[in-house]
Amino acid sequence: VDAPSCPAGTLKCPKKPVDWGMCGKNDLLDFYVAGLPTTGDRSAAPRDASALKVSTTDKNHYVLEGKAEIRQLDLFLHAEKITYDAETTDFTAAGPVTYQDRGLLLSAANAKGNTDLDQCTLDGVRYQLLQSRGNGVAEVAVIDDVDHARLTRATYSTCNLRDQQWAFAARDLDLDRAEGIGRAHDVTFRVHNVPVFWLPYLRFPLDDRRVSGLLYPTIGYGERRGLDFALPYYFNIAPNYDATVTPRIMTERGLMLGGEFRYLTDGSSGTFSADFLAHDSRAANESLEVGDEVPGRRWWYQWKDTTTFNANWGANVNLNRVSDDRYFEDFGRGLYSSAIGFLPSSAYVNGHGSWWTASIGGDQYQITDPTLPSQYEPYRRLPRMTFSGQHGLAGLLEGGIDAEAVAFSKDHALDGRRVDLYPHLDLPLESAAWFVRPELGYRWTSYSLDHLDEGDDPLLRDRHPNRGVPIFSVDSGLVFERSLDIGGEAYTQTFEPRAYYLRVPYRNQDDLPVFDTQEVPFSFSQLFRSNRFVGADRQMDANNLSLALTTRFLEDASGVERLSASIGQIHYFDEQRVQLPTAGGVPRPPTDYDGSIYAGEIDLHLNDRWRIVLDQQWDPNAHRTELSTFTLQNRFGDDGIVNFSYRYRRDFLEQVDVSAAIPLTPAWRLIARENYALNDPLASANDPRGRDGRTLERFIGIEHDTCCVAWRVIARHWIRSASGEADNAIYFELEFKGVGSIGQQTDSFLRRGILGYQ
Amino acid sequence: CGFHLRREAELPPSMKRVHIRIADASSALAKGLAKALPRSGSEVVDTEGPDVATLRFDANTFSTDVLSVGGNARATEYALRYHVEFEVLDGTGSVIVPKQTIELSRDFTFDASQALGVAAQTDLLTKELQQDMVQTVLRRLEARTQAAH
Amino acid sequence: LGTDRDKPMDVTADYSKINQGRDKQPGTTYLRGNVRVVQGTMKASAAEATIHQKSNGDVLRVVMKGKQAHVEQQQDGGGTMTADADQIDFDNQTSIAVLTGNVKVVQSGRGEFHGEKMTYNTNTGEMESGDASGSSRAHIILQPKAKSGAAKPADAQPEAKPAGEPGAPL
Repeated sequence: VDAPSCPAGTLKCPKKPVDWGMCGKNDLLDFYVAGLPTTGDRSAAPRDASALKVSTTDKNHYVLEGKAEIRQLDLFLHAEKITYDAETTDFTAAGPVTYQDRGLLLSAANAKGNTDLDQCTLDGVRYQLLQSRGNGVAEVAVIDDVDHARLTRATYSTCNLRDQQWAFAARDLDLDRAEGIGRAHDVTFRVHNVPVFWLPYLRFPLDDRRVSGLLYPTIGYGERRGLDFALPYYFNIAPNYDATVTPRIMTERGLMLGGEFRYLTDGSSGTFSADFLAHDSRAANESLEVGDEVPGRRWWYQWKDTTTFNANWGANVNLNRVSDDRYFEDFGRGLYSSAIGFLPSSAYVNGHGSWWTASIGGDQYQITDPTLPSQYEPYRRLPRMTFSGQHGLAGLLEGGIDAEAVAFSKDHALDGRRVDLYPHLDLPLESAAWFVRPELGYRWTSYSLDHLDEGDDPLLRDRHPNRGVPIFSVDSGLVFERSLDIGGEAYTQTFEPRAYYLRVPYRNQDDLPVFDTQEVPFSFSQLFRSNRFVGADRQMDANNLSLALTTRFLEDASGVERLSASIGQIHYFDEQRVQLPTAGGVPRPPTDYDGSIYAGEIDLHLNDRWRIVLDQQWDPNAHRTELSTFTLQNRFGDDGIVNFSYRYRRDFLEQVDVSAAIPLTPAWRLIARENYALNDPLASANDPRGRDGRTLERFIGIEHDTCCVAWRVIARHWIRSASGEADNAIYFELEFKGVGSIGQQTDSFLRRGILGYQ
Repeated sequence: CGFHLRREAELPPSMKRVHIRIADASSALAKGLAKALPRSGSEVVDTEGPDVATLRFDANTFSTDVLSVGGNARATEYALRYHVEFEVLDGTGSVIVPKQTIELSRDFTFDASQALGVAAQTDLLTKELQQDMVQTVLRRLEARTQAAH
Repeated sequence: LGTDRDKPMDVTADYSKINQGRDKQPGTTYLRGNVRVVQGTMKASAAEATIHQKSNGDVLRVVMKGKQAHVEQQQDGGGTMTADADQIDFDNQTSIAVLTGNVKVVQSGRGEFHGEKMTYNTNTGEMESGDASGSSRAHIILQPKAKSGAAKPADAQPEAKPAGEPGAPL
């Protein structure tokens, strides 16, 4: 088995293309002549008619008897007897006839047609598409030209002819190989020859060029939604516009109309999607005040767009809005979506040059978690402008500036504008074995706050507070290496000590508001940051020296970093005086540690099948572990995968997560996951059940894969709502390969649940 | 114990002149490499050519995924993943460095009660991942071309 | 052309040996080396040829052999027909020629004909070759007519619609 299509290096794998591995040899292809050209203009190629016995009654009418054939570039017609008129190029073929061209293979009782017009009519037909799995039978097949064929009283399926587990039977079926679309009328869908449903008209993909198709109904059941049935219609408006309209009927809620419009012009491409439920009947009789101004009216929309104006300027937009904060919990767009607490929206015009980048726009978040009070909502940043640049000044000396100007606004909170400028000089000195990067800069931040009424924080008397502070840092490091031999493999081991000195004098910032500033949880990269806060409202004071050591094992043959391990700590020479105020606005006292948390990382890529990542943080000041995570991923067989991970963050979470997709036989695969919270400090504050540990998510499922049908059944138990209620569900998905699937869309859910699932 | 200062890692002569082909030419990865490659002795040019090697990036994507979900069915940790795939072909199109896949990630916690800086935090982690990726791609190029000698 | 038969037949060769037919017996003429036969628009060449004639000189039958005996003739409808074969046996009375061995007949503007054995009626144009139970195949190759056709313009397409993957939350 060669390297898996998704090496262990990548944790999240893309969707695997449809796998026809289970289909045996296609016996219809016994008379397939390989090696015929598949491209080129057939009418420009010479036509060779031949047989054991060829005779002409007059100058133009030939009769070919005995293994008679007509060949022309990719066309290959074979029959017992062919009559051919050289003048009009009409022909008739009798006896078992086989017809083959670049995309289609047919066997028929007899046929007639015209080679100049590439037309051919055959009856008593069995056909097989060559660029995809589609095959079936038809009473009459009319081939109009190189790309179009019309079949009457025909069947279509992607199963082997001998084993037709499912098929469409249609009054007429058009195969449009140019667009890769099949269109059928008066269609009965049969599973093992039992009619399952009837459709007046059906449109489905012939090859994987277009993944979407009409037959994509999703069926599900949930006691909050009742029966949930959605059947999307796909409209191919123009080569660069298309739309999908999805009526979705929920017995508990009503009829919801969903839609998605995609566009691609030379300057921009994007998608506009929306769902709209005029009247949510369940919300009405539960008298929940949901929906926007009109109670019971629920909607969601999303607009994503990327536009390029010219070589330097472009824009991207990502707007998301819902009618109320219970929307996702009621109509989850995906099985994980209920985990969204904040729905981001942003729109920026971005510019870039060889030495600078800039952006002008704004962003905001909408709270979509009913348990979150509104004061948790982040400030709207509109407008927000940023500019940063770095340019060589003289010799090795470089100058740069990072600037941001933002207007903050939020309901029932202090609004204001902030300008943050950070001009700096750098002198990067580097070579293969060492580097020294001194940087000296000055950070100037000033505010203009809106009028303050008495209820405001007394400290914020001044309406134009500001802060100016110089920042000096020197980042330096050495790189040693040696070559060594491990298990017969040549390796290069590196030894990289690194020292980072940072000096920022103290500035009292208690009079500065807190708009978008937060302390970032400690991590290894924290050692080399000039501020432990993100956002300009706080600039930490520092007289720090960070020391770290990294060692790497590079496999010489492939150049891949098989192991990298790092350990490091910040040594504080002064106390840490700048702190964020408590939630109530009371300034926190300084801390006086002499060393930070020790941070260590190990990342092991044994080979394309094994990956182990270890992160560890130990707090010397409190003598306890701050963070400890261990992740192991192993791939085996063709698409088997096992993940094990243990995650501990003090006072935050402690979880174990085991997930696996185990191929039992080529046809059967077991999928399972157990995500168990050993203790759950965040949730157990308001939900005692979390204290002594519980299962956050558990599912067990079985997948069966055959040549043209794959089905999957999953039983799932998971914590569904913010208040910790659990829910159980059974998901069933039946996929008719190459055409579409019925049932719950489980693929993206599995790819999140089982890391590396394919 | 056999350690010595790392010698100047020259890229092979076939990579004396390199053109970086990437979907988003303004990305930090392209700019970072354009600044770093000269130190390994190869000049970055804007157009392909017979004597110019092409460093072609087939994938250069960020993704944010839910890493863990708490007892309140809310995401507690996210992972910001940076996935890059690249290969190096010489002027005639023959392969100098076969397809390489590199994925770096940074985890960050998400506590709804103090989500004020979540956007700023994502920007910071994105910038750091981009700087790391430039170094990792360079190390892979140097180690890979060393191995080829 | 149909009128070729009434034309005089002119035959030349390096060596010829004629034995006259006596009292009603047909005479035969053996020709060796650079045999040339011309009758109207019909020209033929071969390494050796045997001509059977009635006592009054009318040609009954011509058998030509060679490393590809060759015959050319103008067609009534225009264009020329050329035929090459290891042996060409032409019966002047029935005007049927039997060609055997690597037969290649080219009718200009209409196509070529290949096979091992072929009978061809020079008057009616009827032709027959091979036999259904035989093993060798007979081919007719027709050149394409000049046809103007504009290629379909290719235009921008949105790439395949991704399976419904909900966007990442942040």
